[in-house]
Amino acid sequence: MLNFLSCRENGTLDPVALVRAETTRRTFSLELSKEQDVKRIHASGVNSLDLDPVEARYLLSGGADGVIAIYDTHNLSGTPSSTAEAVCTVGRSHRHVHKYSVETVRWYPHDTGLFTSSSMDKTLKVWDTNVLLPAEVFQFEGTVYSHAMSPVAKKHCLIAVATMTSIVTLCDLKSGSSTHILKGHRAAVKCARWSPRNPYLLATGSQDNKVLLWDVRSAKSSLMSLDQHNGELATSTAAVNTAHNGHVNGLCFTPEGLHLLSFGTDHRLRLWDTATGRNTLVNYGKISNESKKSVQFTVSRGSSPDVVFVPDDSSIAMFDVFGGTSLHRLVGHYNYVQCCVFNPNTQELYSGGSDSNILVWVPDLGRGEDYEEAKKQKAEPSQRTQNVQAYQDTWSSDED
Amino acid sequence: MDLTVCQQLEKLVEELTTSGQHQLDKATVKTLKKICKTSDDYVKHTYHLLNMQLQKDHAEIRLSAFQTMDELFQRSHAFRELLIAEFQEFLELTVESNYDFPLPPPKAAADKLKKQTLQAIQRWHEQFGQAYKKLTLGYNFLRYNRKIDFSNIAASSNVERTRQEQEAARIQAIKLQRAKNALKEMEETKPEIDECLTQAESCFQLLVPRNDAMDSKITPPRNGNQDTSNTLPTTSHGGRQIRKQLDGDDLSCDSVSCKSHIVRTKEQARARQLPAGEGSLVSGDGKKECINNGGDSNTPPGDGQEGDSDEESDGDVDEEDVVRHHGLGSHKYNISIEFNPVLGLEPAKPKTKTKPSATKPRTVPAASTATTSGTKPPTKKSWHPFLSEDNNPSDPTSYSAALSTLQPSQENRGEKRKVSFDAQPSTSGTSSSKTDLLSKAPVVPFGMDLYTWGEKAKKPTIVRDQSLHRFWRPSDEGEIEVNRVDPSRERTITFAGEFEPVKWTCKAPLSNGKLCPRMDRYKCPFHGPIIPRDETGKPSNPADAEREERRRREQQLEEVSEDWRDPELQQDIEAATGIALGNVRGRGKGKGKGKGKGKGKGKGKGKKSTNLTDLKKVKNTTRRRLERKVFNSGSVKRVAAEMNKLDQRRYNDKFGNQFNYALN
Repeated sequence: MLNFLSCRENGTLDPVALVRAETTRRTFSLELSKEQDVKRIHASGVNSLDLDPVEARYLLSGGADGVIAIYDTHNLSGTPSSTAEAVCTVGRSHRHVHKYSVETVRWYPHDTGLFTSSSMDKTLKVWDTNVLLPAEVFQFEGTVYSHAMSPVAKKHCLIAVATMTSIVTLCDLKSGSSTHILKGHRAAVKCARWSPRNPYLLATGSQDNKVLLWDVRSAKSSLMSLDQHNGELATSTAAVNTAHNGHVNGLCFTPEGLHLLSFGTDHRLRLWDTATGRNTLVNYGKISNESKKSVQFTVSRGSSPDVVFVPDDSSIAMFDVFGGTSLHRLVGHYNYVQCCVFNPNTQELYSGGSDSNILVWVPDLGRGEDYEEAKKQKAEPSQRTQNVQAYQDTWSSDED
Repeated sequence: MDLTVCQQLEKLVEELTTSGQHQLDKATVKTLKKICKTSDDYVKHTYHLLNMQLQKDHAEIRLSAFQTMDELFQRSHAFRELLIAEFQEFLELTVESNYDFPLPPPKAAADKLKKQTLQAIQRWHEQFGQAYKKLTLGYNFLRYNRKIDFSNIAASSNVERTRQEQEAARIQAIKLQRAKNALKEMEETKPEIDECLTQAESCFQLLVPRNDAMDSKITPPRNGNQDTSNTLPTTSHGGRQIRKQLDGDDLSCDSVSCKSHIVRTKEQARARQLPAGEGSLVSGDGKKECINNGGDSNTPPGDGQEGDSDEESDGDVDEEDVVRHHGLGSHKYNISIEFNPVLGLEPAKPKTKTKPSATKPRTVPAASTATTSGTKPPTKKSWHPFLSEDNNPSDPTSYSAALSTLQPSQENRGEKRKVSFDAQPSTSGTSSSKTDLLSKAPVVPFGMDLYTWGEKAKKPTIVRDQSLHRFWRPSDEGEIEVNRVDPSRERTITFAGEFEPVKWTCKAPLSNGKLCPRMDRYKCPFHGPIIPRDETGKPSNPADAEREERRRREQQLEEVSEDWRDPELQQDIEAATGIALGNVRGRGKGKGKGKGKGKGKGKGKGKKSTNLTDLKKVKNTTRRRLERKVFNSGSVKRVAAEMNKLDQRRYNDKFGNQFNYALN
């Protein structure tokens, strides 16, 4: 680090390199935060999390109890230990609360004034954050597993909705109606994601083991169906080639949009080239995935190599995206992890699980110890002894 | 790290966790802690050892391992770090936080483990919660997601106990109070209950006193004349009730076919000296005399009550009264006929006169066949008041039946009477044989065969319509006789045999000196086929005895021959020669098995079995063993087949001759 700084001072190093090095270091050293906490709002599992794309400050969460909460992740207390309080909540007593479990929550990509939530009660609600009332409610035939808005689209304002029916519905926020449907899957669609590069490119994963790429401008058929064998299998034809040997319930584009990661109930994670639709055949090993619903996983931003955070049972596995090597395992949840979001500004990770916890994972740079030392000296004598007790061995003298 | 110290640690942990006790051995724990205090490496090693033990499928091992962990957790920071890093797993193994992996048996230890762990976690949370984030998370997980009430667990240790005691005391007090109240109430209501009882008793006395009185009063003979008087009401026929009182010295003439009815007419005895048992009751002259006497007494029959007769209008005849009123020695008899005035029947006088003829048709056929050996054979054996279909003695409500119960008391009334009784069977020979046969005859439910009983057997025919084909004609047009008996005349009677309960026991001598008490039908599972044996259990049949002896000798021989095969010796030989000499079997079968297994596992097994509860033994209950036999698929199948067969047979019996069931 010091070396980097001196090089930077000398001007021998590209400033980007410093940023990249530090980001990578921080990303790789994620640990369960000892100080930061998120207030416990959800009575049952947390199904979905989203960090607002403008400031990366407000964390939106949707729970299996139908409750939606918004937390402020910025610690303004002046001390390292803090609890992220809920800015506002759509609680069970709210008039427009979702009847059943909220499956996905998403911020509007360009502003925090609006967010969307979809639920098992077959609705998609568009909320006005400031008054906390739904501006629009879309009804569907089947339960909604997932929905997504394009982060880069300037020309359209479409929400792709994956429901229990095999049809992907596109809802237009401008007109307040579902403009068209995408037919191609043969079973329930579990997840949908827009490309962060091409505003018209949509990827959907389904229970029929397929991942389809769509150009939403051509409603005729899907652009391509991803084939895990790249057409090398003798029996593989366009009609039957599958992306996984199990349901596809997680999708994530890499930040630059060149690659797509898919996660299936065959306990595999696959990396696809979005331009050609070919399987890059990166082997991540077995990652447990028993979820019947959509799983939200994420890729770090700005580090080199990039890291993918995938829920693996009750822990979060970290993999090198392009190498496939397992880097680390974040253990802290007491039940299935359902979702995780990466904060690109602070390299923090937020994860929600079925144990109704939202955990904050922060880069562990060894500063905790220093802080403890400082705190010990500042603290009152009684508190000090307690802390001493907590971190030190207390062998009694009679053991001699 | 010293290898010997590590080995010592292993030994200590093994000792602690396989003690099978619910409390740790303090000295051992102390040595363990002393070692751990020296270095964190030892703490780590101990943690891994304990974790291994915690994963064993035995609640007692887990409990001891947890207790040791608790000791170290409170002392060592390194240990806390290690444990909390794998806290999820720890919770799964101790408080079954994952429902897919329940705690292993035995249950008592598992419950204790769970409770102690929860208490410990709360304690840890209070003490170290701030420092260890995951501990707090785990605590919250248990508290909010598994809904474990930690405050209550703490209470259950001290406050709960006192509360329970108080509750028990309260309940006891309430029960005592209730018992006292009930006793008091009883005492208060006792006079009332007594009164009610008296009332009920007197009420019953009013309602049904007479039968008992009659029974007791009729029996003692009044004098040497053996004279009693009997009230003999005739049939209550169509609302008319004729009550006859025949008072006589000695004579009793029995009706022929009805044993229980004794009619004595003093008049007859005097006039004819008919020996008893001669069957006829009233005949010719006697009848006349009856009428004459009736005339003599100038009794207007309609009066109902006259001079000598004692007729109680309410129908209750007190025999003693009758005797007293009539005078035992008097040669009078009375016939009083009572009419129910409501029915407005004709007066009694013509009735009495026409009585013999009127009653003539009522005699049973048996009576007519009776032979009489009197001086003057009676011309008619006509009248008998009880031989009507209404007065059948088999009908328990009839008067004759009531009289039949009196018969035994009358048996000591004299020679003639006895003769008369003896004579009866001969007179009713045919009827008795019939009843005998009837009693033997099987009773079958009514069916089609009985419906068509006696009808001329007709072979069933099949009627075919005329073929409408132009050329082709079937060979059998018209009615075809089926060459089979009409099924409606058939009756299937299955003979399944009779169930004979097993009354015999095996009786083979047992080692404890008793005889085998098993009651098997054919074969005892322990002593083979059941053979007749004497009191000492020896087979009474010499051939059986010989066979038994032979078997015993063979068994003995086998045991002796195996004795030389000392397992250790054989092991040595096997080791030396490298040739497997086969399984060593001990004397008993079960014992041998155990030995063989123990050998395979090595000494670890032997050590383990010393203190811990043997789970296999716990599982091997009588119920389990029985279950294994009863619910064994083979036996289930066999029983089901047997039941089906029985059912099938029953249906065939019931519905076999109905066409729509016939195919089943």
